[in-house]
Amino acid sequence: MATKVKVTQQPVEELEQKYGVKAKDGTLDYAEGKYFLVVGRNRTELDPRHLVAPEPIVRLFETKATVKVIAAKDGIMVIVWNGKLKFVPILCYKPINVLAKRLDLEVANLILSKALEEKRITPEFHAYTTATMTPKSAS
Amino acid sequence: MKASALGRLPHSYLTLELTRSCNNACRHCYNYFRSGGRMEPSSDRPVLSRAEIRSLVARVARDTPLEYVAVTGGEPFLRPDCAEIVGDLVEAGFKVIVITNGVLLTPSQLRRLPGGINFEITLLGHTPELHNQLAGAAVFDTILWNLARLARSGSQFVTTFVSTKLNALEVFRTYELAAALGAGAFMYNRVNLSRGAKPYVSELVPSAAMLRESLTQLQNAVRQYQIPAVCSVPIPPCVVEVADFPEIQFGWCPRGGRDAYYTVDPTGLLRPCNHSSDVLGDLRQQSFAEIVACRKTKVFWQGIPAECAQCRHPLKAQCGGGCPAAADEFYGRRRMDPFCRLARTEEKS
Repeated sequence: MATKVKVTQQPVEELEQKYGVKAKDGTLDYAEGKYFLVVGRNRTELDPRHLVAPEPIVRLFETKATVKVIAAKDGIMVIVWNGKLKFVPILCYKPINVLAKRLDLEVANLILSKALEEKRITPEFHAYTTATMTPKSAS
Repeated sequence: MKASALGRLPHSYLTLELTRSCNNACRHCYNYFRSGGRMEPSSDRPVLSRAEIRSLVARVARDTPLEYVAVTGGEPFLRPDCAEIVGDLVEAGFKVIVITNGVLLTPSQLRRLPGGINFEITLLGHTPELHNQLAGAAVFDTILWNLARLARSGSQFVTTFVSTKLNALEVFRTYELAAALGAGAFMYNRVNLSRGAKPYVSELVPSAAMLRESLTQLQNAVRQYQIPAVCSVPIPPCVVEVADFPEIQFGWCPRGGRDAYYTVDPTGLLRPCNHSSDVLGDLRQQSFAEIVACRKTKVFWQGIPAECAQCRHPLKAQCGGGCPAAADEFYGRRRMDPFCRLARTEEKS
């Protein structure tokens, strides 16, 4: 899915006021029934335990950048992009859960083949994983 | 005292220890009951029944907007009704995270568990030798099979890597293996010391330089494979400058704040977190709100260690001296996290 994102250049405080979003307030916010995590301005404030919650990460395919969504409200997402807080309008998006972050099958198979070569995993295990695992790409 | 009189609490997370038993024998284990803690609560108290757990968690949720319940131990699947307890929690509307060493996460166990839960599973190395040495049991192959089946079932899981002197420089390849097996994220916890780990400090604690090298490997892995990595146990910036690793997410002790993960032991005693042996109160006798508001709880979270008073690092407030529970358990009193001194000493030697 192509996701078009235009990064706004308005000052953070102005946008916070305009959209009533406080990136630092540390609460959960909602958009179209799906929640996004508010983790604060500083990436070091991210609570690692929330990594196991759904939807902490959204990949913006158009830019190939990996960003963290920290709030979503009224068609605006607050994200951390390359360490900077950005407000982006939601033109088209879908929450992508942790499952969708799995490695592409081809890459996973290469790693497992190397592990087999080095006798770190058994041939039976390699056969099982390559035959049955279907890691999904984010698309 | 009722929660309404105390004001609604902000905590959304609770840790629930189902058992003290474990089938691994990790030297790095932080559980005080595995390592001879200084204030071990009486173990002759009756263990909470499944019905009592259901009721206790519901009562906690009346005092605070509880959303996540982490089920742990010991090894939670050693409790025979673990799957049913997890089912109760899911049915009650909580998001459940099961923290397990993965050995007993068998196909039959998986069938008993409800869908939609998340797992945190220990993977200490990329070879049988390394993982088994650290786990104290020959379990590597079993875990890999269970991880692969878990991925096949569509369940979400992260793997947890405890970074010690033995495996710190093998993190890239361990991350690779975890990612290939379908992990949604990689949790990197530097070893957190307890009293029981004292005899093994020299073999467990990596030097600051080794930790930096390990984090560099991890950062390179994230750049290559894009699976998120997070350091859950705080790494004080006086040991390693965490700002040098922008691809890795660093966590800090919540110190009783919104993200605190108060921990219920198998008998209903409430502790500040799963690292600490301090008992704050008894959820069989008191409400969660009463215990959180009590003086003992406030004292536990107070202040930063004297050694950190002169610190001028911009992350001083977040760091607060590292893990306060580790200092309590290791030294028997509140000081700077023992990891800070030991990792820097290792570097000098």
